[in-house]
Amino acid sequence: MNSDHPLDMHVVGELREIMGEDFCVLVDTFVSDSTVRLADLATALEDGDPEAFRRAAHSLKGSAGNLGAKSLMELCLQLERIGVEQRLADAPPLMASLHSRYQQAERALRDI
Amino acid sequence: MNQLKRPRILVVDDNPTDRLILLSMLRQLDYQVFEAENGLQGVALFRQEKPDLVLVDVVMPELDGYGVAREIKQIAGDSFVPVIFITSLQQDEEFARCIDAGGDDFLVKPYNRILLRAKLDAYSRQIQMHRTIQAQLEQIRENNNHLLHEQEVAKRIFDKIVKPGSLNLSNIRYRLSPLAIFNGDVALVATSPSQNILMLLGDFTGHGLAAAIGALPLTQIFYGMVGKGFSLEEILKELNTRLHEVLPVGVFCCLGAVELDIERNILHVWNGGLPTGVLYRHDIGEFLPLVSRHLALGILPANRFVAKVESYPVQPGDKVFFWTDGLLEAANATGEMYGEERVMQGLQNAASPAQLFDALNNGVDRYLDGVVPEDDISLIELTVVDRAELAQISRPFAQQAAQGPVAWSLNYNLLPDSLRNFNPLPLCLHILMEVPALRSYGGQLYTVMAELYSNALDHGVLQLSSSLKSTIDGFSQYYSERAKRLAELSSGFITLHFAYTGNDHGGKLSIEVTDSGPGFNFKKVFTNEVPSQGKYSGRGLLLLKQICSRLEYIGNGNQVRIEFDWST
Repeated sequence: MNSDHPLDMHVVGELREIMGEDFCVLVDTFVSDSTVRLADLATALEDGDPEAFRRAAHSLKGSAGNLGAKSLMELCLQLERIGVEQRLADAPPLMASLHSRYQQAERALRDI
Repeated sequence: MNQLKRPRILVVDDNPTDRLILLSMLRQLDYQVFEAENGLQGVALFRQEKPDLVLVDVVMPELDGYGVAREIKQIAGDSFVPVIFITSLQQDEEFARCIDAGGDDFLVKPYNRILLRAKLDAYSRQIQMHRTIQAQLEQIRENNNHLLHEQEVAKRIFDKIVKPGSLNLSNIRYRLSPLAIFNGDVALVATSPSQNILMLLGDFTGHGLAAAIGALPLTQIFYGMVGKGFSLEEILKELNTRLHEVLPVGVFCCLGAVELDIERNILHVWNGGLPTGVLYRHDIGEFLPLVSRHLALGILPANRFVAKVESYPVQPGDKVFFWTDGLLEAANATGEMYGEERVMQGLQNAASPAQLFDALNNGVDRYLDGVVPEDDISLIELTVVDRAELAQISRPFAQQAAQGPVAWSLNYNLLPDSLRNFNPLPLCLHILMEVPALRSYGGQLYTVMAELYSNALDHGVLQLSSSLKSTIDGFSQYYSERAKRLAELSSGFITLHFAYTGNDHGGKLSIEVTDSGPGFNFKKVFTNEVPSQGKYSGRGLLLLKQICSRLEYIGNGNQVRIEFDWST
C-alpha cells in the first residue's frame, strides 16, 4: 500500500461495509459539506476572524478523519491550531496545500 | 433480558458527514435513531421523542455540546439518560470537562465501531438496571402510602370502638393525646352496679397497630366485667389471661388500676409496670407512693399471675395519680429528661390540692418549652368523693337532649336453635342504649337482663337446679349437664319483652322475661327477706332488688317482670 495514498483503505473498507449501497450518498455529503467548509475558511481569513477559521478547520478535520483522509486531516489540525492561537497570518501559505489534498481525497473517494 | 429492547438513540452533530456515518453505524447495530443538526434542535427533539441515550458533538455553533447536555439532564429529571460527548479534542482537560458538564462518557472521532458498540451495550445494561430500581422504588412508595392509609382507617375505627366510658366524670381529670390509643395508651373509667368507681391507665409496649390492638380486648373486658359487678382482682385476672393469649411475645401492657369503694372508703390499688403513682392524703398533705409490685399484663400465664391489690383507707378529697413513662422520659431541647424528681417537686410545690393535676400537666409542658415529646404523655387523676357527690356527678349523662326513642315496646321470642347458639343480650343492650337517658345505666341494665335471662334459660327451659352449684364437683357437673341439655333441646322458648316511656325528666323501663318451663312456687321461696344459700338465684336476686325499682313474679313463676326508673 502506497503511504502517500490520500485514503486509509482500512477505514474506507469499513465505511463501505457500514454504508452499503449508500456509500456514494456519503461521498456526496462529504463533498458538499467540505465545499462549504473550504469557503468558510476563505471567508474567515478575509475577515480576519480566527474563531470562525478554527471552527471551519475543526469541522473539516473531523469529517476528513472519519473518511480516512489522513493527510487532509493532519493539515486541518494545523489550521485549527492556527485559529486557536490566533495566528491567522500563518494560514495563507498552507491554503494551496489544503485545496490540493482535498482534491486528491475527493478523487480517491469517487474512484471507489 | 438485561438489555433494553431496541434502544432509541438521539445523535446531535452539526457535521453532516459525521452524522451520516454515525447514524449508519447505529442502524447496523439495530438501534432506532433520531438526528438533529444543531444544539437547539437536539434539545427540542429530545423533549419530543424521549430517547434512551444521546450522542452529542461538543463543538457546535450557538448551543454547544455542554449546553445540550445540561438541558437534557434537566429535562430527564430522575430518569437515567446517558449523554455521551463526541469529540475529536485531544487534551485530557477537555475529557475531564465533559464529565464536569454532566456528561456520562465521551467518544472520540474518528469513530471506532467496536468501541461504540461496547460502550452502548454497557450503557444499555445500566439503563435497564436503573429502570428496574426506579420501578421498585415506586412500588415501595406506593406500598408505604397504602400502609399509612390503612393505619389511618384503623385508627378511626379504634377511636370509635374504644370508647372512653366514664372518663368524663367530674372527679376525674386526665391528659391523653388524640393519638393515645394508637400509641398504646389507654385510660378507662367505669362505675359498677354497686357504685364503685374503677379506673385504669394502660401503656402497651410499642406503637401503631400492634400496640392499639391490645386496647380492644382490654376495653371490652373491662367494661363488660365492671358492668356485671366483678371486683378489680377478678377483672385483672381476666385481663391478664386474655392479653397473655392474644399479645405476641414482647408485647405487654403496663397497667395502673384502682377501685374506689365509696361505701367503705377504701381504695384498692394495683400497679404492674407503670411508673410509681401517687396517693395524696389531703388531711395531712402527704404523698404516698403507689409502687409497681407486679409484672405488666400479658406476661405471666394465668396460673402465675398475681392479682392481689393493695388497699388503703381514704377520705373524700384524697387523690390518686397515675402516669405513663412518657411523662418521666419527656426530654427538652438539650435531651435531658423530665424525671421523677421534677414530677414530685411539682406536686409538692402546688399551691392547693385542686392544682395538683395542673402541676403535673403544665409542669411538663413548661419544661419542654415547645419541644414535641417522642412518647405520648398520659396522666390521670381520680378524686375520692362520697356517695352524695357521686350521685350528683353521675347525673350529667341523663341530661342529654331527648333524641332517640321515648315511647316504645319490643318483643323478642327465642326458640331452641337460638337458645342453643345465640346470646341475645348484647343486642338487647344495644337497643336499650339507643335511649340516651339509659346510657349511663348500661352496666346495671345488662346485669339485670343477664340475671333474668340465665335464670329463664337454666332453671326455666333447661330445668337445672342451682343447688348443684354449691359444691366444687357439683359445679362442673352442673355445667356439663347444662351443655348436654342445651345441645339436646328440641322444644321450648324464652320471650323477652321491653317497654319504655320517658321524657327529659324521667323514664320507666320494664323488662318481662317469660320462659316455657314449669315455673316454681315463688311465694314459698320468697317468704324470707334474704333468700338462703343454695336456693333459687340467691345472690342474683339481691342484685336485682338493688338495681330495680320493682320486681315481681307472675303466673306460675315462669314469668318475671322488673321495672327500672330514672329521673333528674
